[in-house]
Amino acid sequence: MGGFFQELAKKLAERWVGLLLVPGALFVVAAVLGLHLGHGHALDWTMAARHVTDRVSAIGKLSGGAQASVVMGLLIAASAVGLVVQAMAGLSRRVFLGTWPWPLGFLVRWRTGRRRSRWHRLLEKRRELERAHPADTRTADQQRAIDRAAAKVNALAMAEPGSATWMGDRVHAVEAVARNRYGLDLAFAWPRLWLVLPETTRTEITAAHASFAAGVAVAGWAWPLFALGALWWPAFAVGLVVGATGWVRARSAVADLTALSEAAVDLHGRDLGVALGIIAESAVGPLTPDEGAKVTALVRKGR
Amino acid sequence: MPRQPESARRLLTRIEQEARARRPVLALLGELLNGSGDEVTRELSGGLPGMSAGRAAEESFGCPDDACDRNDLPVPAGPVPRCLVTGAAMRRR
Repeated sequence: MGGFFQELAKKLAERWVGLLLVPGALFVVAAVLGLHLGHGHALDWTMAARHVTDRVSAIGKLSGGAQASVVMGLLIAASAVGLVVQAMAGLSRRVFLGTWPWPLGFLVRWRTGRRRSRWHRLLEKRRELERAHPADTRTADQQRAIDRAAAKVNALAMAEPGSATWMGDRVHAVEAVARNRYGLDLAFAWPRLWLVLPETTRTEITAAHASFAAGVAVAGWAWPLFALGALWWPAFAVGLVVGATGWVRARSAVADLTALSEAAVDLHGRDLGVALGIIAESAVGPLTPDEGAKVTALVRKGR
Repeated sequence: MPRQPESARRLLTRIEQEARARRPVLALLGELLNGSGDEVTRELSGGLPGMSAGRAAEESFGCPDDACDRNDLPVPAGPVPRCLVTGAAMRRR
């Protein structure tokens, strides 16, 4: 048992160092350097090198206790920045998922409307091709053109858009599919569905969500870098790269997460109806919209 | 199909052999895709590498009782249309 706790402590320490301390320490060093250089000498490497040398030699001249205090101060500052970034993960998540705060309500409506119009335009192109080339006389090339047109529609959103961002629309599509095809209101049905999902399915979904959270955590480091960018512009450029990296990782993870979640609804929606006593255990076939509507009525309880 | 490097083809052959012998291939897939076992599982859960976007599904719905020739074409993943007379969900054709 002692070995288990030692191993757990080691893993937690590694995680803390990797997620908070190392990026935090890099940020603190960049901040010290950036505040000294400012916009005027932003890329003056000679001045930067001289400043670092001066600082290191000044620390070298300190007593052992003072040096330890400087290192401790650096560690505390790095951890503090890391904790602030961690606390701001919710903000990055909201930006990615399109749940922007109320002052940006008009922007959310405008972006959602634009995404919806574009989706319908792409869908109309697909429908035109389908009408122009009826299935019974269609050539392989014509089918490929229709497949490409359908892929463009799906690449924008897996159902009619209802969010300001691509990631938000992926999540929105899972809700839309559950509501439109199974009569399930996932906002209320999901916790119940989660409880009847097999362990392997929950593990897969949890892993995909952890991957999304990791992407959000990476992107979170962009915020302090943007703030530092106000005083030293190269930090803003680095923030853009860091933010974009997190965005790409989160986007890929959210695609997996939503694909798995939709698959879980497809495969286990009926199990939820059976567990709630709405569907007989002997019944077969996919969950029908009427059965799903009964599940929704039961879990929403008039709310 | 683009030509694979010799090492990748050898690895693919080994994966085929192991899979035929019903032995675990996750570690070998990881080697092929340069990722850890966990990453490979996650990537595979979203689809096989290089997989296409698939064949477009032309979904249409008809009368649930075959009593009329109404044919409805909902938007992809949209609501299942309902019979205007009985209110019953229409049947996929």
